[in-house]
This record gives sequence, structure tokens and C-alpha cells, in this order.
Amino acid sequence: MKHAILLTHGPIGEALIEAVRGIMGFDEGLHALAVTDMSITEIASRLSALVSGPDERQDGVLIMASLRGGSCWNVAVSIASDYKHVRVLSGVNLPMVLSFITKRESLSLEALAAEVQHDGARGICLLSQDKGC
Amino acid sequence: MPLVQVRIDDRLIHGQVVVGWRHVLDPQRIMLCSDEVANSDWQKTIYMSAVTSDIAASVLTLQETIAELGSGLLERERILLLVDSPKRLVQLVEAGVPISEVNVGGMHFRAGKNQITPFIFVDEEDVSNFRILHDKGIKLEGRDVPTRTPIDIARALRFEPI
Repeated sequence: MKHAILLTHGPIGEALIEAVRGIMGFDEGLHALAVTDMSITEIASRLSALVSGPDERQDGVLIMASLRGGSCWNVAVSIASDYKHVRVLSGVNLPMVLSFITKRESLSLEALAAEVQHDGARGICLLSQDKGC
Repeated sequence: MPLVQVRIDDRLIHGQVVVGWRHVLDPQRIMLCSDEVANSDWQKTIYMSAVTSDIAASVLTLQETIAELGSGLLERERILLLVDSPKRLVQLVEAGVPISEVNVGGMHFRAGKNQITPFIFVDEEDVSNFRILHDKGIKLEGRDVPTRTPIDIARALRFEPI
């Protein structure tokens, strides 16, 4: 089973996982890591531990960081380059996490990362009276 | 083919439906039966936009729903039908829409309603409409998300077994 790590500024990741539980009724394989007040070294060591955890994670780990260019993203992309089974997306939102959890079985890690990116962007909509979304 | 799910949910189209149940049931169309929504252009736009473009959606009045479901659409598509109340379902069943099982996904708190599960509150009118459905042999299951253990609504309301 593929796992996801929500690597976020503040407790956003934990809150997203709680929302997924409310919508889907399950949250297996979702992990949250909040980087508040952590040094870069500490973020890196915690993230490495999560990425290289139990064997089943070799099926693939998608790190979803809260902010492109933020410290969590910086650490994530540098760690990901050391592992074949890890991909990194930035700008995590609820549609991305739901996309991950509903599509992870049917897609390769590479295709899944692209699909999650697509669904995350599609979830952002300025609703207009005449055109909808 | 039968409707893939008939669901009572006063939040109408929302996350538990468009992501949670859709993932498990894989319907081709989500059909919302609500006069109130169907008669308001803006509300209709909102609920149509709640569904991504890779699945069909309809927002219909009660009469339109009866006409659509009677027109052979059921033979061609796997449909998830959503209504806001037990009363609407009784109207559909009495008009001949074939329904054998109902998922009660959300009837939230309103003044004068009593709680029977964390997400189902009923008043006397709801109970009498549930009784009509039960007496027609329709199975009533309380369940908000697919992974939750279903609750037997007839038993929770102490109806006589059919």
C-alpha cells in the first residue's frame, strides 16, 4: 500500500487527515508531520524515518508539502532524491489527499503523483453565476 | 439495472457522496431530486459544480425525476439518487420508481427532531414516512460513510418486522 506524508507548517496535515476520516471513514497510510519550531536537521531526520519506515512503504510514498519553497518542501525534495520510491508535491489541499486515498491502488506512483496534482488543481474553483466552475 | 444507491441526505451533494460513496459504488450519474434546488438557477449551478466533470450530474424536480427514471435511463446508466427527506422518497415510490433499499446518510438536527443515530434526527412526519417505506418492504439502512457499520432504521424506530 502506498503511503502519504503531509508535511506542513503547523497542524494542517493532522486536520486534513481528520477531514478525510469524516468523508471516507478511513485514513490508513496517511501520516502528518508538522514542522513548527523544528530545525532543518530535525525535519530531515523525522522525514527520513517516515519515508523508510516499515517495508510496505517501498510500494511508494508521496510527500505532500504545504508550501513550495518553504522549509518542509526544501527538505522533502532533497530527501526524495535519495529514494526511488518517493515523490514530492507542494500546495497540499483536501482534494489532493482524497485523490491520493481513492486512487492509490489503481495507479503507479508516478501516475498517481500526476493525478493528485491534477485533482488538487481542479478542486480550486471560482464559481461563477453563468459558467459554474 | 437497479439504482446503485438511493440516499437521504439533507446536505444533498457533498463530500461523503462525491468522494466517499462514489469511490465505492462507481455511479455514472449523481441525480439530485429537489424542487427547491431545481427551481433556483443559482443553487442548481452550485450543486452541479459540486460534481467533477468526469461524472454526469442532474438536478431535477420531483416530477422531472419521476419522468427521467421512467424513461429508460435506468437501463443505460448506473445512477446514485439523492433526496433530502423520507417524504420525497415516499412520493417517488408511490409514483412507481423502483426502490428496494434506502441509505439514510444524514438528517441533521433541527428543532423538534429526536436523535436516533449521531447523524439522523427525526420528527413524527419522518417516522410515519419511514413506516410507509418499511411497510412496502423497503430496507432502511443508516450509514453516513461506506466503512461505517450500517444501522437498521426499522429496528431503531421499533417497527414490526415485515
